[in-house]
Amino acid sequence: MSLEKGKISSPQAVLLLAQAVLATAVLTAPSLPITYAAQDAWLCILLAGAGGLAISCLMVNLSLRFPGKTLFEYLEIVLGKVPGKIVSFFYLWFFLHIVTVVVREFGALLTPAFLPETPLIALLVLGMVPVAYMLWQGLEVLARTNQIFAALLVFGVALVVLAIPNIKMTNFLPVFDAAPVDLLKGTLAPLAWFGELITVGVFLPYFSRPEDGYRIVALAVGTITFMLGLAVFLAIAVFGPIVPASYLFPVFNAVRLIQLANFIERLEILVVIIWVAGGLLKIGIFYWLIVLGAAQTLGLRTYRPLILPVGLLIISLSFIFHRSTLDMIRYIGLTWPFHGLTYEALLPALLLGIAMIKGKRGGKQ
Amino acid sequence: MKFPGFFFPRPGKAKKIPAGRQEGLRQAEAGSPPETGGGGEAGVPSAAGISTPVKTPAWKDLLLSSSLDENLQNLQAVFANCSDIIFREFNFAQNQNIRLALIYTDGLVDKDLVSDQIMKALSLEVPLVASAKEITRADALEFILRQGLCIHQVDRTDRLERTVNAILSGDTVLLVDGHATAVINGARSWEARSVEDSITDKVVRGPREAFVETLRTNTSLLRRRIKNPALKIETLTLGRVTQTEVAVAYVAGIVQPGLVAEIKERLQRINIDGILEGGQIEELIEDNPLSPFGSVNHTDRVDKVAAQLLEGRAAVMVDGTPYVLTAPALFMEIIQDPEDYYQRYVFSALARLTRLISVITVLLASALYVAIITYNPELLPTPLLLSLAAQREGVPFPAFVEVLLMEFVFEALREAGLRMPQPLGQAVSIVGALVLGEAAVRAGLVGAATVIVVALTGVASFSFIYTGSITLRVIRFPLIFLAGFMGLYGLLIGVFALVVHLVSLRSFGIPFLSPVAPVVLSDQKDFVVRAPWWAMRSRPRLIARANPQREGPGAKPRPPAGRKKAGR
Repeated sequence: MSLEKGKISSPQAVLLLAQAVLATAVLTAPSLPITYAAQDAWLCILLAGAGGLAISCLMVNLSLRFPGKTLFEYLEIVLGKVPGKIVSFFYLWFFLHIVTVVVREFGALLTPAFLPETPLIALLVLGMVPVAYMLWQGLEVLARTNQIFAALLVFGVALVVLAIPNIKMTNFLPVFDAAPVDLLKGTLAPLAWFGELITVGVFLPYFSRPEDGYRIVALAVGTITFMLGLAVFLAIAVFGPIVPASYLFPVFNAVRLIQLANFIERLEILVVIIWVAGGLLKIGIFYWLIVLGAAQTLGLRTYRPLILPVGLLIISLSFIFHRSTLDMIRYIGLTWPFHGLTYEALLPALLLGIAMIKGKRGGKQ
Repeated sequence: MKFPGFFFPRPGKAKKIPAGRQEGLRQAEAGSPPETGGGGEAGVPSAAGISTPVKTPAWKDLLLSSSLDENLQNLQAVFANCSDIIFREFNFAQNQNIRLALIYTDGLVDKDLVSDQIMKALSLEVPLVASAKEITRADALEFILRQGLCIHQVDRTDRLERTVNAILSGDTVLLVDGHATAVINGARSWEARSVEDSITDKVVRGPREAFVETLRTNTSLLRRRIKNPALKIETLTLGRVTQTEVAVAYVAGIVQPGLVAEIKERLQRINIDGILEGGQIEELIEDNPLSPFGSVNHTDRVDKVAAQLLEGRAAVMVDGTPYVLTAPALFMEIIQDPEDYYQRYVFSALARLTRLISVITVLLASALYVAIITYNPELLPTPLLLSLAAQREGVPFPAFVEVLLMEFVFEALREAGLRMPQPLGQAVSIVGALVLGEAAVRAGLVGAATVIVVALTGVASFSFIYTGSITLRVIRFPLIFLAGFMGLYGLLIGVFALVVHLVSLRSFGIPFLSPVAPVVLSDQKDFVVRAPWWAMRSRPRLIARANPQREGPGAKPRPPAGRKKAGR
């Protein structure tokens, strides 16, 4: 606890958790479900939302058993000192994977949109500087910055309104056409994105009202489901059930088509702005999780010395893990759902089981 | 670092000098080169503490003696070479054996009062009121205090330091032979600017009077606004050499209890030779010394300070400064103007919105222009793009250089407008507007659009509070650099960093960006819009936690229910 003294209010917590998932998912999420479930992809998002609620409630339940302790701290209580530290490192490794994907996705939209001839690494290094500065200032600053940029999401919703002229509701017909297996396949990737809500396991001790944990994750899941659903809706309504599957950023392309009154056009720049701000914040959130987790696992007094090395690690690993954007897309489509859900659902469920057994024997602290 | 004192040791004082550092301070304060400032002064009883290295010179602890001659000798030694200190000796009217002396600073006292009510009264008129009994040397002081002086404010002291300070502050000191007591007469009066319109915060509707340089006038202006014993004004003296009076004002019962203590603690930490303006104090007590944003606000408007105090803030008034510091400060104060609270609230909302857009314009307009022209021209609608391209066809510079050039021209014009002698104003405005603007475009040095953008930035920067605008004008330049370097992405990164920085600031414990982040719903009533007065029932929540209630319920006015409608 002494590592991070900040406290975040409940609204800030909701927005922080929502941002932890939404920032990247909102642009990329539609492709995969639409690939499998075509015009019924919105069902996948609803299903994934339900699954995400289950995962995050599980995590809240687990965390509330160890008041004032983060995931990294209570792993040692649940599993014992050495195994706990080992699993902690696995989680850090997992968070590193998430953040590298975010960094690469961030770059994948950025380069063509802004500076096609600039090397990606130059953009990323520049982008990481304010993020590192934010981390240096601590969790409270992270939460408040997020609060400010969350207002941009309102613009996101407004964009959907502006896209109404391009929308064809018939694109959704026939409804409930997808086979259950396809629905399930389409649900996996978004579910894994929702699973990123396990970060609540680290954030919970810093909530000013941890006892509201369930309500907070429920609201966060609601926000995410709404926004992702809106994204999928927009993609299908504008492009129909087949085309968006081949786009990397269907929402971006849908907004690109908006043209009103010969004046309101080229609005995709708004999407890019939301994306850059959200991307930086999401990087910041996972970056914070990693430095905090590393500091707690290693037993440091402050995480500040870790900010620079971890930042360098994130940038270099993002190029090592994913050699190209295509490589990353393949990872997201094929590996990520299973990789993600292992850490997001399987491990926490196991941990909860062990904690319950131990808890009944009075091991609860 | 070596100080001259080591090279020119002073034999008489060598033991008293504790460290080289203070030796250096001494040199700086005396304002004299080391060769001449040395041995010569050593034997003289130090003048007003200026040339002694130790903080308390020898005379500071002295008590007055009962011998008038000795007292005068001491004071004359202290005030050696101070030609503006007047020593006036005369005899008591009733008993010519009792000698009196008046000491005061010429120009700081009310001469009529001193000559009529003190000198004339004591040297001529006393026999008229005195009883037949002769006044002896022993009861002279008591008699003078009771019946001799026609002065409102009289105080007494037996300490030399207090006496010296009183003389320097403009009080008139009366010494009576045979008594080790100085009578301090409050008869201050000096040339001062009268209370005038505010210079920096102009209003159409609302009180006009502004603070002046005299602390006592300022406190009286404030007291006239808040006629309540809860308005506390605590004074302390800062500045080892200048001995400047500094007052901390607050409304007890509204202000957060810890705030005043914190401000006083920070003030007492100040150890500096002189306080000439409140700005020095501002930089010495603020929370974020490295930030471009100040965490203490200032204003010269009386009504604004009164309103700030009523919101739970505290004010620091510095003698010699017409600007009063207020803390804690919030970022949103840069779009708040006193007039907002007096005009119709609908109009206030419009004015605030204008200012908010101006703030964004000052920060972003020129940087955005650079980024779009240089990197993403496709973002502009085609007709606009074509006309821009046509304008810029002959321009030899990249947009970045062009904008920097024009920004420099604008900043230089602004600076020139402030500093130049007044009769030259016309010339500069002609040169600035016509030659630089019009001719630069005609000559093809800059595009017309660049001039428009920079001029827009300039106009916008004057449409909100001046302190905020100078800060934002500085921040605009790094943003222009980022935009020229990495286009819109660089600009976005810059804005992100700016937001992170703003969010991380605190002013006396209150988050600087307060009603925005963290969001305080109840304070939104006084942010982008100013709610009607009957709806502003509570004070700002974070600042006035101690006493948040401003208005009683049911403040919304409505016609009485039973009234008969006229005119039917």
